[in-house]
Amino acid sequence: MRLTQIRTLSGTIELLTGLHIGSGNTEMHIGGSDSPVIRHPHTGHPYIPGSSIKGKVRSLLEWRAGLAGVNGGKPMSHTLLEKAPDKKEAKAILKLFGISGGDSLTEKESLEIGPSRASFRDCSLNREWIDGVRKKNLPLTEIKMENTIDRIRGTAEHPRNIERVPAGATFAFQVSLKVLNGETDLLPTLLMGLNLLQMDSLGGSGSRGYGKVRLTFDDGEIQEQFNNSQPW
Amino acid sequence: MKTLLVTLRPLTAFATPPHGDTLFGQLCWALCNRFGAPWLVERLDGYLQGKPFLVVSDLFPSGHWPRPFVPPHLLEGDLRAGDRKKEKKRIWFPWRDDAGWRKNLSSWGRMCRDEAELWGEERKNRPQPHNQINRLTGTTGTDGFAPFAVTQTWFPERARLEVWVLYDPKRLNVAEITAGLMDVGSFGFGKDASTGLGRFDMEKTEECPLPRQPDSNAWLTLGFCAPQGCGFDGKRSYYQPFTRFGRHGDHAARTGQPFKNPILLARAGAIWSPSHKPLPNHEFVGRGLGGEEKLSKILPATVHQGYAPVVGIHLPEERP
Repeated sequence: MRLTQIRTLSGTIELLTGLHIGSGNTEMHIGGSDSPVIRHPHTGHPYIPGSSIKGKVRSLLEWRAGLAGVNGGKPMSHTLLEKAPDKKEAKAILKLFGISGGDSLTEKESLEIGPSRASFRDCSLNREWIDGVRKKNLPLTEIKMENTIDRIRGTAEHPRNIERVPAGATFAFQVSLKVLNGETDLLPTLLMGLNLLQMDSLGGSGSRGYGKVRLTFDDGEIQEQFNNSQPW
Repeated sequence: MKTLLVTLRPLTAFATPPHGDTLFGQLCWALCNRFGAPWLVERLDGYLQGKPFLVVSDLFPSGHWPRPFVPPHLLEGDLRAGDRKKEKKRIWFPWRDDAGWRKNLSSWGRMCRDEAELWGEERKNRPQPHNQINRLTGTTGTDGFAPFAVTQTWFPERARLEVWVLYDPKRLNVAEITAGLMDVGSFGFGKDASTGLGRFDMEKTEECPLPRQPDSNAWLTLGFCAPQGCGFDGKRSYYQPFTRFGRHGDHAARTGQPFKNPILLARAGAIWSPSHKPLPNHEFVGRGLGGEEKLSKILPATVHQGYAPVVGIHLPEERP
């Protein structure tokens, strides 16, 4: 097993609807949002953590491969590989995204799966978009008010405000992919996962329309492969 | 040994502190993946006998070394009245200031700077919350660690880091070192690399011999090292101990026993005085650790970098 290349896929994530990736409320600000988005500690700009994209893409690929229920809703584990409907597809997911340190693999099994091939970088806001927003004297995020309507009385309850990065924002996106000699190309699986992400949503409240995104790649060939990598 | 000084630009946050011994381990895996296990095994020949093929320093702010761990009275300026807390943050000594570093150790304290002086702002440690969404319920679940936080270190945009790489030109060349560093940087260093942490770019490499003060009689270490059994004079050596609970990397991390046996090291910035004078012309001190299951039963041949690059300095005699 030899590393022959580290491919870098770069491009842009454009928000089609508001995006909320929470910061976990580690800080409270007077007059601040109940549910703030995660921000870069130095610049204060919102960003998309690589872990959010990786987790969502893995989850969607596992759903597509029929693996979502195999581990009781948890990420697919190597120890449950026998239960996978399509072992080859399951292995490709494990190779791309890695396996838990809790899986006690023999040296042979560990060498067969190898290291996690994909690394998802945090996505920072594009400078042009920030400059455009600043020129209009607008903030980088929006506050969306939400409430629950009582079914009988028709009145609003539990008002809350959610901070979102607004539709139209663009982020720089980058994934590194380790290519090892003599193994099946894992790029089609990765691109299919990213296509699924485009069909589904990123971040919180996806079922309420948040987090719809469009991906475009800098490399024309990758873009074409991405357009053709339809999951069904 | 030859010395390469590499300047790196951090591109993302780091979850693992960039220490020399950790970087050495990651470089070994990167080189093993790129050139094959037999290639690495060949280069590791003699590692435990004081003949390393590669010694890597910690990552320091560009143009700086760590302030030596010596008693405050040896570093004049350390005890300036008033702002003690501010003074304690001044942990970086500017070695590129040629006139400065040749001066007596006693004047180093006044020359040390903090990160805000170097980069405009300090690196920030921040816990990033994570959770695992149950595929079936769409919720974060109630397991003991859901959600959980991982502390990340964020460097300011202006930050540039330097690493000193000592290498044996008969066993390793600059192209191989830069290939290894590029692989680590483009995929990520340390914990959570697959979610984007620990990425860096290589900005510059230069052949740069390690400097040495006139009348040197002690060494300042630029990385974690294992000084045990190296024959240092305990009365004229100063250090801060550190217990490394190391972990295997790459495929060995998934064998169910990822932890190595703990080892006792001394942090970078330690001062070691040899028992015998004059000071030998060494470029590194310490020992190679491991082998024969000493560090790991899963990978019996596992080694750990207990070597550190050193700078020769003049340590004044203590007043009786």
